[in-house]
Amino acid sequence: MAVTYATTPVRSFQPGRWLKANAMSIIVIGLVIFLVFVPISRLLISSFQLGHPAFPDGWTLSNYESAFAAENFYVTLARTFWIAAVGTAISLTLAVMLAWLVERTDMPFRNLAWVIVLIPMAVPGILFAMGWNLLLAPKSGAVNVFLRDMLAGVGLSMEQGPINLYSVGGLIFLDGIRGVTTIFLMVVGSFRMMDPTLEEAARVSKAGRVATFFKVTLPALSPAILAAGMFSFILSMESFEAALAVGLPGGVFVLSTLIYFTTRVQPPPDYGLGAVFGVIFMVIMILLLIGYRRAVRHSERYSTITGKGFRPRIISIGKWRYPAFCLFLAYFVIAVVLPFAILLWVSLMPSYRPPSLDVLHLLTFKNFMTVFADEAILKVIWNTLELMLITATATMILAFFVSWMIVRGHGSGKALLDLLVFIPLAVPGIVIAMALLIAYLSPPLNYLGIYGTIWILVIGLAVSYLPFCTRLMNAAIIQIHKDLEQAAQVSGVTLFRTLIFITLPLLFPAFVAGWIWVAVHSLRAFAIPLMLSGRHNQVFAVMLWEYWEKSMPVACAMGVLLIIALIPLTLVLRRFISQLSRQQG
Amino acid sequence: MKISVKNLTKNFSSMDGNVAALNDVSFEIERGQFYTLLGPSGCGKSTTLRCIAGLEDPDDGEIWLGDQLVASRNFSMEPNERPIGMVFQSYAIWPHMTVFNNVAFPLKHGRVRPSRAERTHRVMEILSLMQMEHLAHRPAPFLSGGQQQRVALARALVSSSEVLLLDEPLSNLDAKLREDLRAEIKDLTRKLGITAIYVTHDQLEALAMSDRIAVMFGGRIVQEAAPRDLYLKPKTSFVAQFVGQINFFEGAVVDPCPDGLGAFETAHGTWRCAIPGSFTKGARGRLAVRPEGFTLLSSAEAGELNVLDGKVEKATFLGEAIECLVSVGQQIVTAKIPAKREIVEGQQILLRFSPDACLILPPDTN
Repeated sequence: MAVTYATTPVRSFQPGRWLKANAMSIIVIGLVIFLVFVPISRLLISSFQLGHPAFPDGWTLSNYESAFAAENFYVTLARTFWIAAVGTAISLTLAVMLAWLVERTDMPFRNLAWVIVLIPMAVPGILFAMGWNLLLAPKSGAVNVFLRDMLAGVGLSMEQGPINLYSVGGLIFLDGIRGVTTIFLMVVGSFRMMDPTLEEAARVSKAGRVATFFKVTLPALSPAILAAGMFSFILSMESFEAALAVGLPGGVFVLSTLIYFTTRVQPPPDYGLGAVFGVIFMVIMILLLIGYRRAVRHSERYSTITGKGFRPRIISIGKWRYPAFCLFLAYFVIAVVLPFAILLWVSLMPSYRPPSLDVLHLLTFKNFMTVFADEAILKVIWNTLELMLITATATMILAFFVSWMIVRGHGSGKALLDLLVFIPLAVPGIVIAMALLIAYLSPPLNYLGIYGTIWILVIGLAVSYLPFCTRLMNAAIIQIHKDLEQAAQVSGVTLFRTLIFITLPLLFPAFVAGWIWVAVHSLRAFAIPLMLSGRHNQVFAVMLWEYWEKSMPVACAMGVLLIIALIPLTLVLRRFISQLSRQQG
Repeated sequence: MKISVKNLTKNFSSMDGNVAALNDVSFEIERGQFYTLLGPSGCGKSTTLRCIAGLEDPDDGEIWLGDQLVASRNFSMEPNERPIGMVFQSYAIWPHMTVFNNVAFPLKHGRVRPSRAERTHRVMEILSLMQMEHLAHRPAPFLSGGQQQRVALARALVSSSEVLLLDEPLSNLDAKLREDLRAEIKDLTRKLGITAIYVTHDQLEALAMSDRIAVMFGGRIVQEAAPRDLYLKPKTSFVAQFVGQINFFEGAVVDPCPDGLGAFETAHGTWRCAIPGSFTKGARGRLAVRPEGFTLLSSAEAGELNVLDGKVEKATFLGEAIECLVSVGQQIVTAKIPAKREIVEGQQILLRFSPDACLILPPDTN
């Protein structure tokens, strides 16, 4: 079980010595098992149990039977796939087009275009969905109101619509727009690094520009594009915020909202059925991730990227230069400007009014005052900051030790850790949250008293961020020459001190980048806190959601504040990570 | 501190099964000795050193530092518990610290942690020994290669461990610096009375610095001797070739003559030299002559022993000597002739070697 290192050699079994020599690996592996394995296995157990997980009434298959018997389940499953597939197709097309324009054409304002694609990361998914809800809700949506007024002018009057966001089409639209940034960031590098001679060879073989793009450029980049597409599809399958804010009012369920509904909304919650949904969801995601890994594995055979430092051929698009940039602006308007503008508008209104000149005189800062005057909100802001600091620090420290063991260790412990930190990647946030909910509500873990405190949120977020953070740290540790650590050990310094005083300072830049990444993500985290928070451990994004139902303008004011706080953080993070990849590259 | 290594064995698993990295390696080092492990890359010299440091575990055998067993078949002391200091080929200077902090680290975080004042005193003392006091507060990345290696040495010595391990410490430096540091390292270890184990693939370094040398090949020690004996009396062709240039002439013993000069027949004639007792009449072997063993004859003189007749193919002026490649029959012979003689390419020359400048080695078993 324990990791054995070249430097901690004890072969004949002496329990005391063994414990002392392996104390660090025992603690770290134990912690990771506690964080990852315990809740997941508790979820599996619950799916076979009758009744409340704290007071089970024996073993059963009935949870599975009722899940598979319900027609609703199959419809939801198919719908989840459909939304993710079509949404990904939209974001893939858009992102590939944008990446090509930024890297390979003479479009103007390319640096600005880069920032435009990045800013949507600063808008949390829940606020993006809320903004579009305000714009396109069938009855009260600002755009719909505007369109109805226009149509009434030509004699068509309707009660609601004409556009219904509370539909599968609405979810596909939101999903498609949200996916663009991720895919863009994944493919833009290969557009930049692609060997230009491939295209030049096509041109001198008498292929036209368009033919070259579709017959050479795209196929040559297809592994990278396919990988990004699959990854984005996996993320879309898990997406929760839009499905909650827009799907639920219209009764359009997907797997993640079905789980939320089953365990948190419907009275009484059915944990057994929820656990079954969670297990099925997990299995689907694991299969998808295995497929993704296989797809990525052979991509280097294409080797379009030779690593030579060349500037790719810039293609002149002539009169299309400005229309091309307008495409970026259009994307920016849809992804950021419109939802932010409507949130801002509503946050300045005493109660919800569609934008119009007639109500301009009602503009007020009252809602922002409410936010800063409400002690409950201030307490939640404090909670959120506390959560952010603890989660970022704890996750990165754990990731540092785990990564060190994965990179430097060997034996069964290394393989086990590698697997354990990979698992959460395959478990949607909503499922992690449900697993923790069940695990910490029932014996023996309920005696820890973690449920209802900030610590259960820390655990949930740490688990779901661990895969990213360990990959970041793995890459950083590989860069550090082993001799630097061994030099400390032969100077009489223990392994633990070596890690703290040599290794950690040396990978400080990567550590900070990971820390900011976790901080940004825990600040805007929604699905996990929504499932796990109660009165005492509420966080900002969840409270915002509560206000959404209670007092929409205050919720909008909170949303505006959150976005304003996240924009600089996101840009700093981006700069940090790109600097890091340049250093390591 | 006396070091003994007994029957050290280690296997590495690779794609074609287990490969013996070390095969029954044994040696003893007296207190204060400068001991060198010499061999081509992959011969197991670094693995041996890393086993002594505790950075790798032997599969079998024992390592004793003084009267303390530090590694055996089923026990291995942590590297940080062993009384050693080590210098790495890559220097391994911690880039996030100053020179002072690099050197002070073992005293600050190691087994024995003296007071702050004592620590500062010892660090400055060792830095001044290496003439580096003025660089104490320079950040490590702003050091030249030679300075980095001095810092690494200071760090290895500062905790006054009695054993110093050096893993090819000079191989990343340029030639001039290498010579300076060679002398410096040897003086230091002598002055401090430290037992040093030095790993290198450079035979000049080994010959110049060591009290004793173990030549390793294929995970074994093939010969262990003092530098002079190793150079003059190698036991195998491999050792003879590895510690310096040498010419081989294949042939067979005609007359063993155990007490005086025997006779050895080669393709170029029958030559006279002392034949070791293990060779009987008719035994095959090779006669070996180092390039500096040849002298130039101006004309064939009657009664001269061991003369070769050849044509100079190439003459390279080296300063202190001229290195000539001379074709003798089908063979190219390397000879070093004092520089005052004038030699032109294409010239016919006569080379002579005295019977005590050559030795008879067994035929190559490879």
